Amino acid sequence: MELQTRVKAAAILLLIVFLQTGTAVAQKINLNLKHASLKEIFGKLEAQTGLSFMWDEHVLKISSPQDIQVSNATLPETMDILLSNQPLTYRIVNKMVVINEKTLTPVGTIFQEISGYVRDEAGLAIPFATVRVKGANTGAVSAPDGRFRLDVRAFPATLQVSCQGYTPREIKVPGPGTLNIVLVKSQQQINEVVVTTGIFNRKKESFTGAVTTVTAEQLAAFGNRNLITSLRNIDPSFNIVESNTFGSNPNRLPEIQIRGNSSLPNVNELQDETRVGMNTPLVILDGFESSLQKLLDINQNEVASITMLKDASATAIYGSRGANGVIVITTRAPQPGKLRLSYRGDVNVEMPDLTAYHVLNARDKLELEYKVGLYDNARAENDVPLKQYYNYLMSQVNRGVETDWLSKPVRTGIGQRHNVRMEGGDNAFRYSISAQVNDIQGVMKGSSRRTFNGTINLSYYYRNIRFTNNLIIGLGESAESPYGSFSDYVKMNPYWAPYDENGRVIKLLGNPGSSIYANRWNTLPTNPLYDATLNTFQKYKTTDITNNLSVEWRIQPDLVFRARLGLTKMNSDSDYFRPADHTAFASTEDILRRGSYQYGVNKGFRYDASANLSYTRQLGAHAIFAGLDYNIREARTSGYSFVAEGFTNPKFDFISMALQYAQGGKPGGAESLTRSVGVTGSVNYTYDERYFMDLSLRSDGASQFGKLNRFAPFWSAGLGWNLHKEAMFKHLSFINRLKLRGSVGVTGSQNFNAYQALSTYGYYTDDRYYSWTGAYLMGLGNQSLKWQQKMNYDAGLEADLFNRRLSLVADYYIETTNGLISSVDLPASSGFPNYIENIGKLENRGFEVKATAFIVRNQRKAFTWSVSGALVHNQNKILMISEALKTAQKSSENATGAVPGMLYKEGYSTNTIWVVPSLGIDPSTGKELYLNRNGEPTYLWNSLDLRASGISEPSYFGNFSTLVRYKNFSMNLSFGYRFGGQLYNQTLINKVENADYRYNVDSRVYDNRWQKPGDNAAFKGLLVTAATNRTSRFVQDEKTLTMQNANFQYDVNSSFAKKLKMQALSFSANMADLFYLSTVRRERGTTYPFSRQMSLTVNALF
Amino acid sequence: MTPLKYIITGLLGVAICTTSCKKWLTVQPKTQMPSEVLFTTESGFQDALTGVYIQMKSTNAYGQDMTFGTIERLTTSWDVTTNTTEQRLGLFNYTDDGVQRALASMYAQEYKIIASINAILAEVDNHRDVFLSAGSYEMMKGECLALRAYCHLDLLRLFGPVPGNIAGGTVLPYVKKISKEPNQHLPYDQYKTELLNDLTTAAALQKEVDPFTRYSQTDLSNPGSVSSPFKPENTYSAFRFLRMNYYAVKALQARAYLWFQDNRSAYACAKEVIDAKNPDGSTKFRLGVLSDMSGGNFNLSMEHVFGLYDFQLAKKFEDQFKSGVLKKGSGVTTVNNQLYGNTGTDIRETNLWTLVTLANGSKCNILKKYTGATESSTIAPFQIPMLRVSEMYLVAAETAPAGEGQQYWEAFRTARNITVSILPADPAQVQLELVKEYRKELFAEGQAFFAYKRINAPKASFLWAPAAATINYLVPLPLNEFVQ
Repeated sequence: MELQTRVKAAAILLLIVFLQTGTAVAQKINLNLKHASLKEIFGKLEAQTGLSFMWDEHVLKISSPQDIQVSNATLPETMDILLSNQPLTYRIVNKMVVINEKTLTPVGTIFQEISGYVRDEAGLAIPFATVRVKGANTGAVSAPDGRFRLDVRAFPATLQVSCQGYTPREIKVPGPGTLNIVLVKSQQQINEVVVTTGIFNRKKESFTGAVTTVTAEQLAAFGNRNLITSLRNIDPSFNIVESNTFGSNPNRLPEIQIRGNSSLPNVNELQDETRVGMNTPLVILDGFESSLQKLLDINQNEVASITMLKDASATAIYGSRGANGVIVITTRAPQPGKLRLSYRGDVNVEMPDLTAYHVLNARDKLELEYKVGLYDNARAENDVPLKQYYNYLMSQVNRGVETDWLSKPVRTGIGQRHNVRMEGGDNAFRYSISAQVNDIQGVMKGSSRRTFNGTINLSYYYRNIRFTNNLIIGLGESAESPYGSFSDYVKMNPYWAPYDENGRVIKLLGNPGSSIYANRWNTLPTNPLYDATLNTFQKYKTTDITNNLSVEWRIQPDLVFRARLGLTKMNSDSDYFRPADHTAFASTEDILRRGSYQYGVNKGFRYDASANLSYTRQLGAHAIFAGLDYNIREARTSGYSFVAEGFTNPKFDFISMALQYAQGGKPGGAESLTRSVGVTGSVNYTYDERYFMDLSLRSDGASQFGKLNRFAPFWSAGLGWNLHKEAMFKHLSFINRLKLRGSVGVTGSQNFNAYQALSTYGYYTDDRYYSWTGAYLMGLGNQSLKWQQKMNYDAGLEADLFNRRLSLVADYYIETTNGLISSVDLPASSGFPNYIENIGKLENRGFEVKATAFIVRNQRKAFTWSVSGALVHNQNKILMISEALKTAQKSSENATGAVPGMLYKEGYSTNTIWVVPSLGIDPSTGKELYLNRNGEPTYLWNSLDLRASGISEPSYFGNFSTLVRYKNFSMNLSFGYRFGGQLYNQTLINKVENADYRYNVDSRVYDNRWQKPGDNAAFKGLLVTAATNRTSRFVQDEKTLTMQNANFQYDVNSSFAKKLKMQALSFSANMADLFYLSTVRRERGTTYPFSRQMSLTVNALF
Repeated sequence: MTPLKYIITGLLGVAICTTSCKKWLTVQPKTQMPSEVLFTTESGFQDALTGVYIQMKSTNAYGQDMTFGTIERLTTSWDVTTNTTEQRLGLFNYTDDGVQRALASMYAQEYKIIASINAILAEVDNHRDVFLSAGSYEMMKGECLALRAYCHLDLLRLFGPVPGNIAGGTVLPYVKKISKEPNQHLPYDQYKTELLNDLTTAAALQKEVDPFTRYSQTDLSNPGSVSSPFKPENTYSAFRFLRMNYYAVKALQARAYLWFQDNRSAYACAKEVIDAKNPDGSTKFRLGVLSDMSGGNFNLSMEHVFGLYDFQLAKKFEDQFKSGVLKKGSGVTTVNNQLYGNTGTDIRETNLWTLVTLANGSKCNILKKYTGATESSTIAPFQIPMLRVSEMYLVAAETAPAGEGQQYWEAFRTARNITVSILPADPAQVQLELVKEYRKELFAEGQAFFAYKRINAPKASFLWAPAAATINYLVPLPLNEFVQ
């Protein structure tokens, strides 16, 4: 109250003064005096303005004579110039100019104005640059046209000018006036200056979090396929878990892990092999939650930078979503200027990599079949036709039938990608429009993914407020290959001809024209190529529209308010059609039920809104950052699907041409609604740029959490020390930067069913009691169900050494996931077999080291050569799982079989290979000798003897790369490696040891087979038909080296480009997955082969 | 404004938003209904109770296993193949995995039904105000309590001790609330008290309000029709014979008291059911006779005090009986001679069984009780008998005061068209005589094992006990009852 009255009084007083002095002050003054005393000058001024000057004689004594030259100036301007070098100041009171001694001014310090422009090297205005007076509290922010105005108390003053992306400058200013400040763009702008966490922007130098920031240039140099592989090639801690099953299928979302596997499936999910999603990091696009699919499909040209947040200090601000790490994508903001057009075009070639496949040729295969007795039968009436059939096949081989089945379903896929971007605008209004068409053609025939991305980005600056609106439209269309699974072709016998003499596809293979095959095949095998000739398709279409609006208001130079609203609408539909003739219906009796069409549609809508306040303040050696963020989100999805059958005419593939709905079928569907709110507070304190501290706190509320645990707290605390700022290190000139940091905190993951915590009733849709419908309790809800919590510890070191020739980042971490969502068994009398509880504990610990060294850095010759490498080690261990999960695994554990299933046991890694230890094939009997649980050799395979015999996750993995830049040419080669892990070689057991001789097998089928007593063989006898169960014989140490990417780029020199009316022009060539060297020889890419990619790119800027 | 003010304003805003959040964070699934929403309407309660009946008619309860499936295997009612779970059930080989699984499946389903009932009972008193029509609250609660007792009685009869030989210790949990806390196993007497209490309360609740006491079965089957005086607001209160009605409670009480060896009470309850009259003075539950059976009413629906409606019964008949899965003999003699004593007149002997020829040419003697129907306009063929008045006659014959039992015995035998004998004077002999009738009368209704067990019948009196079997009425509790 008191403050208010004072402010009011002061305002009234000022108003009066202004009114009275208005005319006089406005009077124009002309003076030209040399070495005049103040008294003399004041006299002239009194004459010109009609104001009277008042002064103390003492005051004039301390002043010195001076020169003055003003023309057409106002009184304040004249006075400023006049007194700028005098220890005096003035006030205008009631038509009087009162002169005082500067030090004696008790109230109302006289500020003097400095104004000017902040521009970049090209002369373009830099908005939002901070201009501050060193050692004082005053500062200003440049307007969109770069102009700033600042009051300065004392001269000479030092101005500190800084702006994100530019090297900060200090400028000495002798007196008031106009300034033209030029800022130079910083070389590694993002690396050096700011870390974008998606919620707050933080100074890299004083941030305690473990983050990796990747620039657009790096992304381009490390791959041309998609952001996910490029990111993996840059930082191996962003780990793509290679799927040997799905190979290079363009429609397959990869499984991503940052710092290991931190989730376990629940009892009902054990059979679900698709574990994708459990460890997927959170993807944030311009501050809003996005999806992994978006990361795969996004227009790479629109990406300005990607930041990977790994430890608690960095991810705690995402609370219950942060546990799997966070990927923050920042898109390019439009740049002002004349309309600029840029184009980028790629041709992408994908070639199948079948080097891992070694199958028998026709003659060898038939010989094998004969040897193992497929054409022998003790009964003559069976033996004769068998021999006849063998002769028929042999005649085929002699005729020259030698089908290369592997090549049948694959092709060289040629895809293309085009990007156009236009941008421009003035200082107040800017825009960019871009579009991308990406056509990916996979190596299986007919497998493709086409995407379209359109973006409109508008920004408008009004004083200190910036409005930005970003509209993204994404369309996707993917098709699965009609050729089916690649493995079907691998097993085809090469002596089968797929086509008849007219070149038409044969439906049944190996048909001799009579029934002599009867003892070899019950029904002749079908030709997998046959289905591909039919009109069959499996398509998936998606549309998503995202609009992100943000308002940034710089209330004060130190205080920024930001409000954001993101809306996303998604639609997708899937179509799967197979006509009546498809071999899948061969056994369907009712011909009217042959042919099926499966249709599904999904809809989703999501909004995400946040309000955010951030405050930075420097007080002497103390610097403080504080941020507060409030965020609410809602996501709604629904979908349904149904199947129709009876497509007798293959030409009609429209769903309404079906004869009926699937027999006994009903529409399927799912629906979910989740809501969450979060409040985040974050504080950073830095002392003297040496010591710094981060504290974050987040409270998250989510509808998935149990009623009693609606809100979850998450936190992190970090400490850091810039050693290079310490006096003792300052004289060590080879240390440019040395930072130590450590953090601890809790994050969570909430990827569980939307309604898991609720006690809900479902309605019987296919049952009734008389004429009444009934509801049933779906399960025992757990009102105290919580999110999974991850306790993170991280210690890190960052260093730049030897004049920044060597830079190094190292981190050690321990991450423990507590309260894994798992079922707990209940006594049968409870009425429910189990309920869901937070039980289970999982730990990942490991380290990451990354180093880059410049071997040559010759700026004069424009030649640089750098190498970098990274090493990641992660160890995963289950500390606790629920009894229910243990019991649920019993059946798969006890089952016999060749393939070890996932087993989760306390004290072991989630990737442990559980097999019975084998002592090898007994030379005397040819039987496999096992080691039982008592350490005794035995011939009996028993699931109780299963032992942890390896871990399918490599202990160490990483990459290394080398970058050479000479003038306009640059070359980047990157390699990936892994070692210290094991693989269970399924090719050896399925295609050699347990080989199904009816079909084609691995060419190693003859190698190392036990034949007679005394043979020291690796595999059982060729004629032993008893199936081998999973044993340690097939666990092999894996050491793998791959060439991940090779990139060559040439920038056409600008003078030539200018002749073509271009500002810039560059060409690049890219090759990915060129080779794969491994100690484990196995078939790679079983249902879909792996590919090698090559691409050519043109980049032009007009 | 100073920065501080902005921050304070911001914080206040956040605080306001956060308090209103909890409500916003409570989401409503579209394909499911949270229990607190379901139980805010009368129809919600009705849906939940219907859900209970649907669970009762599931195949691992009264839709198969507890009536003509697993439980009838314990009395070797059907032919078996060697070395199958079915055979081992008949041999009382309770340590066998398959046998354990079969029994555990019934155990789990019974308690699942109980849990569903308890979920309703937990809310019914709190939401008494949602029951708008008169008596509907009482019927809802009464039905639930009685159904809970029905399931608990079957659990006790199956997994509990032989009534005449109660050892100390606990028997089973009598579950009265839904919870993830393990349920306490009660001593026999306490279990019995809980069960009888539920039944007494249920009877008291329903006695005054059940339309079945005021209308005949025909009236209840034609609600709102011109001919019927029964005009309810909706059909939910009709068709009481398909539900745990007042008379079903009394019949269940008779069954329970008989098990607990309280003959006086058993008789009183059985008599009330037998003597029940329609408004026009006719008997509410008359005994079925030859003409009924020969008319195709194989399950004698007029006798059903409580019949479980199963619209899939015809399909079950196809799959289980007509296919020969459940058969007794490849000719008629086994059943006719050994079960019915080759009377030639017994309406069950002459009507209930038939020989079918399978696709492979083999012949099977199959039961027609569950033929069902394809036409759903009639109700009777779809009923699985849960409680029948004929059982009440047998109860009365056993428990009536000296000399009075004979009349019920006579009425029963007459209806079945067999010679009327004189009941022996020795109660033990009466039981042995009656157990044969239980076997014939309630064939494939899941009652035979209980009838033998109640009187601890020796192997000599146990029809079709395999030679290799040692009769063991003490079925162990399933292993999944004992988890940590």
